[in-house]
Amino acid sequence: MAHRANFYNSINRSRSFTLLESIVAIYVFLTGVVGAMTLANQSLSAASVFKDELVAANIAQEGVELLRNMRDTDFLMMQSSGPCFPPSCDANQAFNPPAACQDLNIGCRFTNLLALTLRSATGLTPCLNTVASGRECNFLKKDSDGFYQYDTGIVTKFDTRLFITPSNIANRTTIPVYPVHDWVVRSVVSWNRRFGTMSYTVNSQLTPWLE
Amino acid sequence: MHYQGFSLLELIVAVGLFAVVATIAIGALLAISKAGKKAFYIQTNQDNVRFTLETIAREARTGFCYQDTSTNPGEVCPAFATVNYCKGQYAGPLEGCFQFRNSRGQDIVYIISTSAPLCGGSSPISCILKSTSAGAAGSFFPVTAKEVQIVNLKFRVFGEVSVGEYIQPRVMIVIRAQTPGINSLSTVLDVETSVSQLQLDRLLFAL
Repeated sequence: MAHRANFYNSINRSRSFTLLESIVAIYVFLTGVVGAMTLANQSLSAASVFKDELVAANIAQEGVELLRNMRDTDFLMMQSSGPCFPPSCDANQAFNPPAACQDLNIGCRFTNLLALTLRSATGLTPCLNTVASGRECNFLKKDSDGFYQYDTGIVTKFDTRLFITPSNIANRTTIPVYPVHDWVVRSVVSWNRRFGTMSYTVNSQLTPWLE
Repeated sequence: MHYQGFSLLELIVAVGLFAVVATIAIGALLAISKAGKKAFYIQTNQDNVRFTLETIAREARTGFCYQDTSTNPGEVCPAFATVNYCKGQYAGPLEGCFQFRNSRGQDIVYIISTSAPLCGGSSPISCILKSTSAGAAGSFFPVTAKEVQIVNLKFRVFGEVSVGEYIQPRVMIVIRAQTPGINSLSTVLDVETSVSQLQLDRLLFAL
């Protein structure tokens, strides 16, 4: 009996956790759990950001490629009436993007990505909104074949803008009749995420139509 | 003497609490492992698509004689008697074939395939095959991994005609890749890009 009384008393006397200790213990435990959860969550959201970036990078790259194609097609068209040596070429047909493209506050986009010929005279459309007023240059649409374009399909979150400005550095004045300066090309793809806007930019330089 | 054990009520509450905490903990653990798996699938998908697009784009940019499934023989490459392997292949909604001549003079073909032996996996499978000799029998090898299903592959060539036409050739490429996995684990990736021929078309053939 005495034994038991001692045992009982010893339990009774043993120190229990104080409130502070409990709080610290729970805090430490929660930090560990929350840390692990955050890590898993972030790795997933990072993967999805990369997915958007991969798509955007390829669309931005496509913009630069298509502009180069436009420059080359313009040149071929100029040649269509025969060999093209100054001053027999029609300078009005040379690669010359609309004014909106050259305005860093507006920008432009391709009129129709699935058109057979891309020519600078008709292939570029000014954006409706300024850069400052947000996006909606025209969201790309994705048609049932998987092609991104502007005419038909499901509206995606990607806004594409092209900025094509004359290069001041490499102004060429040897053949003054023609617009013979280099063009600095910026192809910007932007899209909204939960926290703010993301964008992907490809920079390039187009040499004149006539080297 | 007064012995204090746990009362029934205390036990029920304790066990109940334990059950709730255990459920949450196990659920969280499963979610973590699922998220990890999904991140891995997304990664695999992206790696394959990036590699494939990069390979095709780089080679096509310095190449010429672009041809897709609708290109008629004789329309392109007047200087070379190249047979368009892609003509008629997967005609209609599937335009998954692209042929061109690379800078080393090889006739390259990229094509979508559902052949298990060629893709190096077990059926059902869908992959991208490449040939460096105009699609000759036995010359195809896979460029995408068997873990990734290529659901959609389309090439659309513009300006491929070289005679009497003044359009610089370009090709639009669309790839849709999917990792198998069930329900929410499956990931789909749609990527598009374009490639424009680097050399001026008419200078190339001196027309």
